[in-house]
Amino acid sequence: MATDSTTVDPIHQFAIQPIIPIRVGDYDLSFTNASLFMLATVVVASLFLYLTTASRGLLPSRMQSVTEMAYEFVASMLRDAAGTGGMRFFPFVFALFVFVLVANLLGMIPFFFTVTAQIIVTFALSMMVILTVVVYGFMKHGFGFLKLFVPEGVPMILVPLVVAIEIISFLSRPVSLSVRLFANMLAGHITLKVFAGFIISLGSLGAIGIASAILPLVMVVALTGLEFLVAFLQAYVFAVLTCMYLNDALHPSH
Amino acid sequence: MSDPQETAGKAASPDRHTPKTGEGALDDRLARLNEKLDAKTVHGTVDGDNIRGKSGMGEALRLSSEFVAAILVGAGLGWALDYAFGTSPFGMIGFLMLGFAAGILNIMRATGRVSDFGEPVQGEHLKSDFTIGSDDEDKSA
Repeated sequence: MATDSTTVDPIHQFAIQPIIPIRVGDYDLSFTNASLFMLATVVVASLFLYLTTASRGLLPSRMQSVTEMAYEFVASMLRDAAGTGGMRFFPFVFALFVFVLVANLLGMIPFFFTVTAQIIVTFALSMMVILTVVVYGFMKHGFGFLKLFVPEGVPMILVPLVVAIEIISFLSRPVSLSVRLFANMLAGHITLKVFAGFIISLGSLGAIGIASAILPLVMVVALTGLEFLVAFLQAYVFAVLTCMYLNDALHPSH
Repeated sequence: MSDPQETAGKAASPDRHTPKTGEGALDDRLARLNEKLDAKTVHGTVDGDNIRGKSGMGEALRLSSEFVAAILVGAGLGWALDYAFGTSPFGMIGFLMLGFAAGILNIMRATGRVSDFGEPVQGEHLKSDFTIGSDDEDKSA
């Protein structure tokens, strides 16, 4: 490809490449760049949380208060949505929030791989949430959990229809939860790449091109800021919705 | 506010008072309904207000994903039922429509227009306020 130096492939950044090929039977279990960055996410998050709280100052240092704020943030979010009974899920929700947040932020570093822009990763996360809701709901309430699907005050004739709609609505939750995070990260990174590609294409057009390349450059700077906002916002939305769904498991009929 | 409709609503309830107080009561009721709807909207948008304040794009992605997800799940369920019972294409047609309804329900929940899963209380109040002229409390009192 002769034009490779000036054209940009905005999708290429999401390609999964095996780093250490591993095959077990017919399955490809290679250690890929996605695995590497998931591992990196966990390591970075754990190290950050451990090192910042290692001193255990009564007066927190700057970094320690970042960790404490994150803790308080998730704790109050969970308490508001699911009550004090929901606090048993705190480790789960906190881990999800930190994982998504750190993965999003790592993806903002140039040349880094964004694991949350892979639908299978976000879908696995949201299936974990929904399976927790279903399993815990049935464990705690038995078949009373199914009352979730039968709103009170509905005429008997309409109940089968309403129940079908409610079940579809419930089943669509993991799908929308995962698609939202995935689509936000994918769209953001593609937009960044496309506008950055404009700079290179325009820059190769001589003096006028270089002058007009300032416009997409401004755009890329602004978009980068927006992407950092989206990275935080999506981690927050994922955690909030997790809390709301867990609330359904705890109190299926309010 | 058209007069004929109002009087029709009045006629439906036998023990309505004079037309003047009836109009006042209707206004009252509308005001109360609006209040309740406002309360409901604020209460329902757990994360919506955050998104709405910061970027319309975020909200658009959120609502569209809610809608599309329900339709996809409905179609998928219908297809699976067809596959299992050999009732092609009726399962898919029916469940696609149910998925559409669930998508609308998802969006209304996401924007806080409808009470959440298994939360009938506010909905009941709203319903009794919507039906003009069937005030059970008034009759019993």
